[in-house]
Amino acid sequence: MIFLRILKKDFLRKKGIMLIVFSFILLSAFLMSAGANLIVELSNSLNALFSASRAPHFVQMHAGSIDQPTLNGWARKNKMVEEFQLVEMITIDGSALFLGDSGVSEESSVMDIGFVSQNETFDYLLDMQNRPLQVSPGEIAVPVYYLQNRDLQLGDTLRVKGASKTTSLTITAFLRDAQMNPSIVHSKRFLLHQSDYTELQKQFTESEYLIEFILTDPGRIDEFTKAYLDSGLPKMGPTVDSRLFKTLNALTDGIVAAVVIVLSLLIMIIALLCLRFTILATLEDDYREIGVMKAVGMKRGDIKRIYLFKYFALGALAALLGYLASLSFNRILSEDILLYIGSAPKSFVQHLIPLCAAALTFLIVLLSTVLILRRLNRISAVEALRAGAGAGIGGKASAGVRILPLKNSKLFNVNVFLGMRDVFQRFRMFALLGFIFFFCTFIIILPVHFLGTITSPSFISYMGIGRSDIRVDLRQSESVAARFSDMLEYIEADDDVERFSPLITSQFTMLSDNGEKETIAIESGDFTLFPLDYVKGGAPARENEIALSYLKAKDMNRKIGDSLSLMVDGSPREMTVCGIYQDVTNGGRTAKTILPYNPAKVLWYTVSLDLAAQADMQAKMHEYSDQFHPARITDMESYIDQTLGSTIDQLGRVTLVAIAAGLVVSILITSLFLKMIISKDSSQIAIMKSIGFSLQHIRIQYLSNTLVLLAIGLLLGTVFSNTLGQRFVSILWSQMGASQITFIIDPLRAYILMPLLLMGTVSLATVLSISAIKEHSIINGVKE
Amino acid sequence: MSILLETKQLNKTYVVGKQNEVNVLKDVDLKIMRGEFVSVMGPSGSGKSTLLYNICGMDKMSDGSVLFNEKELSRLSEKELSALRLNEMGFIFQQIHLLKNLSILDNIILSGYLAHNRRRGAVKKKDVEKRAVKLMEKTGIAELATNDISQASGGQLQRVGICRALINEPDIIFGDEPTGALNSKSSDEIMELLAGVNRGGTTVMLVTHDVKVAAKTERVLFMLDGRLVAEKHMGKYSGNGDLKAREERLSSWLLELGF
Repeated sequence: MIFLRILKKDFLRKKGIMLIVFSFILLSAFLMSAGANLIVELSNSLNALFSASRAPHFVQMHAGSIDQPTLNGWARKNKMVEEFQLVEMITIDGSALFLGDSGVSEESSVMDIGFVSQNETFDYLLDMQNRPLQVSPGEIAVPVYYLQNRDLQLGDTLRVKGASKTTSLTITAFLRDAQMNPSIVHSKRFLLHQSDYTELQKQFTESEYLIEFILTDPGRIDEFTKAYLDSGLPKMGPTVDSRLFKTLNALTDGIVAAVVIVLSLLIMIIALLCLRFTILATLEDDYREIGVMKAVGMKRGDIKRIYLFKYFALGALAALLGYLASLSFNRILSEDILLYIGSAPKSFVQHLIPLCAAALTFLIVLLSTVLILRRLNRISAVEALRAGAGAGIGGKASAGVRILPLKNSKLFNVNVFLGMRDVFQRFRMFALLGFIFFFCTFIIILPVHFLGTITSPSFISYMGIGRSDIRVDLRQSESVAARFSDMLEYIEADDDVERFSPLITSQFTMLSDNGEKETIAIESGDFTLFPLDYVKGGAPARENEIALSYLKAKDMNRKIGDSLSLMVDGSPREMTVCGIYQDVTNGGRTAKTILPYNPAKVLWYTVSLDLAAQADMQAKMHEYSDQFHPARITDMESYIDQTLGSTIDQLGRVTLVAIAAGLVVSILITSLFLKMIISKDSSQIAIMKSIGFSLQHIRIQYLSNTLVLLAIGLLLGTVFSNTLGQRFVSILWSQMGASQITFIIDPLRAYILMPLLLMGTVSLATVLSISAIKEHSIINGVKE
Repeated sequence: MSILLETKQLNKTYVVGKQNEVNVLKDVDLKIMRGEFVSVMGPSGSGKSTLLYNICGMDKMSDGSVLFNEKELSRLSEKELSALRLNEMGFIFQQIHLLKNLSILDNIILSGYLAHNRRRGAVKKKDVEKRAVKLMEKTGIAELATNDISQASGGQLQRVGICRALINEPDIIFGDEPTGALNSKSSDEIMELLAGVNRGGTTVMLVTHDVKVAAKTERVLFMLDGRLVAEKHMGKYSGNGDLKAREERLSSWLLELGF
């Protein structure tokens, strides 16, 4: 068959270019189907986890005494309740808990640790096969978070130091907890046998309750939440629901999936640009042949079919291989999901989705080919035959000879000038390479910026707290108020402390627009000492002012200057919204006022403090953890690191991949492009060589060419990352409470190292791929 | 008169196909004196152009030696050869070979600027421009300076070629069939220009098929099958009415050689 013969000949003739286009399509299809698979895997596994654990729809945490009969009675009467249970949790202070043989306690951990026994009817803690877990006396099951973050193994020992004695337990399992799995949730449950639980209860008297409900209709969570909060039932602690659990569980991997898919789209665009480039170059080479084919009477459709068939075969094979490659890669990508959430058998349709994603890539390739091939219509037989192989169909060769006459080169080396001039003269052609450089800069700089931002101590301003050297957290417990005031006294007397600010979070009741009551956690104190950045407005300065977190303001539909009604000391009080800030902690829904806190419903106490210049931070942190036991003492960096650790890790990996991808793409396209330019310019190069240009001179011309383009690409890519890229990241993160991420830019890395890296690789690629200039000589023309 | 260029036992072999070697130049011994006006004639494939490209260093000789301005070409690096072509040699071609992305003026001054690049002290960009304008006036193309090369005739373009070859005041101008693609009127004009250049002291060496062209040169070399087989001293061409007689003398000599 003639098609196959032409196809084979053509592939052999253009091995290099074909291979590159092929690889790009493959890579794009690969990422596309991997991303699709990740999403399928995530939602599928998440559903499996939630159904296996029978996760509650509504949970009220409560630190304080409880009246179970009243609760039982309310639950029985409420028609929305299907099942109800009260879970008691022994709260263990981090300083009392030792994991493994390290001998280092968990006191610096941000996690609130609770010991529980297995529930009877729902909210099961699961093993790694997603089955309800049972442990024997002397054994304990530890959350997977610790498996990953503390490098624990089965058989390791866990010690709990009580008031009178230390209890040792053997870790016999790792557990999945639908509610508290992800590292972004600051509570972790450990599972004990009932007998150990009872034993430990004698030593650790502090406990917290989880008041859990499964509803008859999960769609009515909001209605139920309101009903519960209005009921006067215990609510000293956060209120959470199953939607939040799901979001938190999906967050980290969801971001990865989104990044992978965005990356795949970018690569697809590059693949399409390459494809366009290759097809046009091929048509240019084949100009005369096409003329001959037309002259001997082949129809336009026939000729088009030859080319279309070629790219159809190429695209189909690449997409298929991309899909197959993604199958083996899926496990690596979904490692985290498998660990934290577990796998679940997928349905036939779910298996099909990644394949469809790869097929989509193929279809886009095919469609673009059809569009590009419309150029064939423009070739006339006579013209093609007469013009011969030298002529092109890519438009006029030299437009604007008069721009930038050599006279203007006074300041430049003439070769540098010629190179730069060439860029402007043949701008349409060079624009593609500039665009690629822009792209590569963008995909490198954006994650670098974001990683820099999230690892910077200033990221704290997206966590709803001001910057300070040390943060002290004291959770609700026995005689906490007294301990808190002792602590303040101690800090006040400490000469090493330059300034400090106590902040108390307590619950208030708010009247919503239609007169219904709603509970809101409000932080009270002086917010001027450790100011946070406000998206709009500023810190509350008067008693009738309130600052809302971004998500809270969005939920309540409030803007700066709007008012809301808060119950203070039993009577409603009009508050004015004075500021909106970003907060990715506590579900992103918080508020701040300078009103005195509500002593009846304190959730937690914190103190932010800055040390004087002479003080030793580490020593001070040790001193405070001893002194203020069981308060948790963290510095800002470890606070961020512990809260966002796994997100940071993953982002670090993504950044590395993006840098590698950016470099590889720029190298590939640079060489591809220059090889084509060199062959196009062969006669001009030969002339220059004949009149005394050395190879070095010509190299300088092409280097100036690519470096000017790279400079433009770097500039635009950076500007784009810093503006729209930042916007894009903000949109992604606004779901978590940070609506206006401002990149904290590390100028050394982003503006010096990365550009230098790109410049180095692009220069190298340029020099290597124009080695053919050696062969161009006007003698070759003479010899024939 | 001193020797500008001398070849000894110059050989050039091309490998054609897998094993066939073609000996294009065979033991060529040649001397060219400063200020001479030399032409090389011979049938197609006799090695005329190959000789030209080997003595200017554009092609690599297989064996023998080429001494130009007391420099042995085979010992020069690629960079030194380029510098030699830039500063001490000028070239004009049948196909003219101008850079299509540059205007006519820029084609001429480019080599001058490049020379400025290499020898910053010795060459000033301003002088290059002045010289280019003067050369264009001399060759009658001054009004074309800012034109695109597609806006000029073949004869005009070859004048541009001559201006380009002269911009760095070379010791020698090599011409590979410089009038081959021109009509006879333009051809005559170009030859008059080259004769003028030669009278100014620049050595000129041309490869040509055309008796009318060769008749205007001082010495005619004849090549056959890669060897330099004969030469004829024609004496200085004064530009007067003796052209007809010179042509006849040359033709009969060529006839004797069987050309």
